[in-house]
Amino acid sequence: MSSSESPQITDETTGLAPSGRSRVTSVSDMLNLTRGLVSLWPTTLTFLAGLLATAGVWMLAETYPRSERSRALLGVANGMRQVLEVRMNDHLRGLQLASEVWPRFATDDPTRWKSTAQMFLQQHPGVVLVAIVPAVAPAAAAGPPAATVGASPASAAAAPAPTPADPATELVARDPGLEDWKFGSEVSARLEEAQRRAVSEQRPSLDGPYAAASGEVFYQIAIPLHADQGPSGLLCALLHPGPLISSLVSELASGYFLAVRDEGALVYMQGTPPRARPSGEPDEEEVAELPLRLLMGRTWTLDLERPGTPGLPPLLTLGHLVLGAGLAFSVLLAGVVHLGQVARVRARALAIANRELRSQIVSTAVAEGRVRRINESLEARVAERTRELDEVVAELETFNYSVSHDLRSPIGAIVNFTSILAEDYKEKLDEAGVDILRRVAGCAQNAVAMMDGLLTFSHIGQQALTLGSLDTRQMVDSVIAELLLALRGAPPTFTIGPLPDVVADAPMLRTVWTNLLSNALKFTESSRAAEVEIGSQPAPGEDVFFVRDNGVGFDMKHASRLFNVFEQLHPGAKSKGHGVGLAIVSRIVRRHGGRVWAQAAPGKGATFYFSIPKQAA
Amino acid sequence: MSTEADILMVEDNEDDIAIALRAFGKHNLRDRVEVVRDGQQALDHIRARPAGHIKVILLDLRMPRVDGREVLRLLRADERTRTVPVVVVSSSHHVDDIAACYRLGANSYVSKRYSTAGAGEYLINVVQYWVELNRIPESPIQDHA
Repeated sequence: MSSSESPQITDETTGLAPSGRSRVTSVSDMLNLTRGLVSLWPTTLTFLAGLLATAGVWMLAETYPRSERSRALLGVANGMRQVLEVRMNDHLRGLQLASEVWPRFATDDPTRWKSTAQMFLQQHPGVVLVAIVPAVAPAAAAGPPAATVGASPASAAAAPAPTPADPATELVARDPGLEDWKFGSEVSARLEEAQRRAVSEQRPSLDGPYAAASGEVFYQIAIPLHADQGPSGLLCALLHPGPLISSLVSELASGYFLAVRDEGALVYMQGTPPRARPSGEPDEEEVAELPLRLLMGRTWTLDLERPGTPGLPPLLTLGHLVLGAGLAFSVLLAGVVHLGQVARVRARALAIANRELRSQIVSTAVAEGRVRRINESLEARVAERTRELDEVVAELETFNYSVSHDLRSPIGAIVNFTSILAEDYKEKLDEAGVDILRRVAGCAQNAVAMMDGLLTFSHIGQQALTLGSLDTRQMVDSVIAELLLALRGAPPTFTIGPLPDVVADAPMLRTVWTNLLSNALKFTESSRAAEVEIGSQPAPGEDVFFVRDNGVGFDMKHASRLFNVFEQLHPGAKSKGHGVGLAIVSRIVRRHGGRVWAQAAPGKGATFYFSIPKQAA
Repeated sequence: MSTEADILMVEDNEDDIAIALRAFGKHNLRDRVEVVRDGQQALDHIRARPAGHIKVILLDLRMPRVDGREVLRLLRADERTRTVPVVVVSSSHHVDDIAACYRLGANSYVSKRYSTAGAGEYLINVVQYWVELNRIPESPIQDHA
């Protein structure tokens, strides 16, 4: 049978219809099958979505901090502007207010003016000098303030003035720093020019910048005095913006580059000017330029810049970080999605495999149930057949018994009547007639003997075994003695070997020995030196006995029929055997679970064997 | 003198009867043998006789009306016939039959023999023992219990 046929046979035996889809034999096969089913689309889409999100975040990261930085810079700059505007304008407004009060003080109480001026200077650190200057004639070459401002206090006092002795012309100056605001003649000229213009135009002016010999930058504030308020002239003040601005915003501007410009001229500078930017135009996040709107019509410019970034821009900017992290995140997310996808497909495959297995289990259970039912019905049928067979056998035994029994009487009557006839009427019969009668009686008697054999045979089949331990040697001796009593010729030579005891039904085993030994006697009857050997052979699990004679023997080709009912060993046996003896032996031995067999050759005697199983002690 | 037969043969087979009667005749026992053909006749015959009169009953098993077993059972159930010797003479070799008969109280069991060496001679052997040697109580025996 080829292996390719076996599945078909399996299906036939189980009676299962082959399922439509291909059978999956194992879960691992199932998983292998599904390996190709994992779609790459979700993974790819996830990765792309991650990239998109990264790009968005990157752009935000690129733009948001920029505007934020710009706003921060502007905030700082704005704060500075407000501080500077308020303070500067406070100075200017203070001077304007002073210009309305001080002339009267100057004339009425010069001492008070001076103290007031000193107080003013203390309160307004940007002003280094205040003076009330008589109005300068437009033709005058140099104004008193110019002399005052330009030279020294001593020279100022000596300078030509409308009222030279007027105490109001006295300077009130900050003690330290006098050396800082020595101007050259050119600057003095410009100072006077500005004074004249203020007077002529009758409006306060903030003019400058004037660079002092020290390099410091100063402004002149010239406020014309109203004539009705006292001496005509000007209130002049020197503004030194540098220290003022510094005191106001140096802390705020620390770390920045700060410049306050007046139309290009540098008023104040703090920090290191940034290097020239490669792009030319400065970024708005790096530079904040705000106007400083001062009173008296002046506008300065506040320039706040971030300090230049030294060296090359850093390799890892926030954008780079966002980009890298986003990329890694995308890859991770895509990986997670892919693993999830794989897990999902595997779970599906496992579910399918489970279902398949479950259906296989169910199928197997169904098939097993079917096989079991078949087996049960087979067993039932076997039991039924056995019962029927037993009934048939019992019927046959009964039939055998009845026929034998019922035939026995009439045939036995023939035996008797022929013998009576031969006896009572032998005078009326000649010798031939008597001989015929004797033959009839002989045949009938043979028939009766056969029926007796059949009855015994039947009886052995029906009788229950009564097992007991038997002394084999004693039984054999007893049987031989019994047989010798009936023996008419010369007894044979018996050779008896060791005979083990057995467990068997005593009457039945006696029948076995009787039949075998009487057989041996019968077939050695005509021998001159008859020998019968009785012995045993060792065999596993059983005791083997034999009865050997040196009689006529038989052809082994008839051996298979030896133990059948009515089989005659050889035609010459005639009335010696009735064809049942060996059948009875066989039946008894087989009922004990043993075997019978024979070995022989024509003219060389025969050996009959039988075995009785050893009983477990 | 006992003019009446003291041997009762219960047998329905005429061949067996003829063979038996010839054998009895040869041994001068013919007058002592009474033959009945079934169990009922046997019971009637036995009950009509006084206890101890019948020396032996040769009882066949297979008979019409009342068979040998039933006869045996009834004889043993009756106090007056409990001790009458019964020899079952049957064509059956069956151990069950033999055992059943002894269980019912048979005194002996003999299989019918067919031999050219003397028809019915075995019956003579049987009868001689029971008639000449065996002794039975004259009156019914009582149970000890």
